[in-house]
Amino acid sequence: MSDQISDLKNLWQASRNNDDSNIADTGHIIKMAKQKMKSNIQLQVRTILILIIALAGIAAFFKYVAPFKQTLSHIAVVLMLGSLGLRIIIELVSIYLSANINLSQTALKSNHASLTYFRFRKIISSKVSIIILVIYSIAFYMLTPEFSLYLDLGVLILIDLSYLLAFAIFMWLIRNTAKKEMKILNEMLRIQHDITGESETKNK
Amino acid sequence: MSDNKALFETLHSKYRQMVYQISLGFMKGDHDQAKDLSQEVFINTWRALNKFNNASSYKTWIYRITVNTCLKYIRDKKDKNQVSIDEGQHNIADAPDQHPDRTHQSLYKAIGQLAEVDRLIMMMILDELEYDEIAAIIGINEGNLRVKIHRIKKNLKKILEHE
Repeated sequence: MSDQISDLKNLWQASRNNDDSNIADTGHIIKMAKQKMKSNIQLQVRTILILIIALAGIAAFFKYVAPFKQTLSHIAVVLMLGSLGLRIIIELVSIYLSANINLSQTALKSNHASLTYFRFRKIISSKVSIIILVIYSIAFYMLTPEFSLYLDLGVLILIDLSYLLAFAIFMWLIRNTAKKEMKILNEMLRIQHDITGESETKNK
Repeated sequence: MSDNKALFETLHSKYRQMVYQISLGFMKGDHDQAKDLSQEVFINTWRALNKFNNASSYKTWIYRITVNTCLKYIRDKKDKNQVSIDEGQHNIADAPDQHPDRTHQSLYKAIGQLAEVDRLIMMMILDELEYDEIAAIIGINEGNLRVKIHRIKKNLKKILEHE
């Protein structure tokens, strides 16, 4: 076997040619790296900003446009704003965990950091996001009794039915994300197993 | 920044062939995918440059980034629902004009039949890295690595016998 490996080593060394045509120049790589960093930061900031604007918009709407008087409505507003606030915190934790993935660490440590991130994402996508959406939706319908004092029944039915459609779309999006992240997590667990030789099945 | 740029240029100049060859082996001889992957390795190298703390040699450090970028590549492909390395690979045997060196391609093809982590370890062996260096890149102890390498060599032998 050692002869075979020795032959392979020679072949491997010989196959390393000096043709640079397949390798990008450093100027191009640095430019790409900077663009990538910029777009990553922009994406994270955009997500947080959209959530903060939604939170502020809803808070302003309830305070200035439709100040509710009933206790049930007040509870609903707190639940709606609270669930959005929780979503912002989750996004911040996600950013922190993804920033902890360091590709210059050992393969085991780097993969472990990625696993931590994707396990968190899995819990968020498969459980927390659904709970948040359900709480938000219940809170939305808790506003209906007070809405009914000011709106026509037809308009009210239209609003409530439209929300059902939005709920279905969000639920579909969440489930799709969860499925995708589950696939990635399983792939990472397989790699972890390949590195350590130990089976990790508790998250499967 | 200019210090970083100078260092990056030195690292790129010194290790680009090594990184490209590992990428080519990981991609089973597909030059287009290897080009993308080696570019990704150096993008990650540039981004990690400020994290280098002299705890290892630059060679080990670049190797770690290369190995992690290769493994991340699998995850990213899953994320984007893109074709796998196997599905996306061009049939090199059908394109002799583009890649005339069939002997080298058959080497990449044989290595390509190993599992991803085993493939990376095998390429480090072929690159004549010491066991302690490979252990420092992968993150397992030397004893476990020796057992793993013995198994990988046996697998590769079987693959070569069936070629």
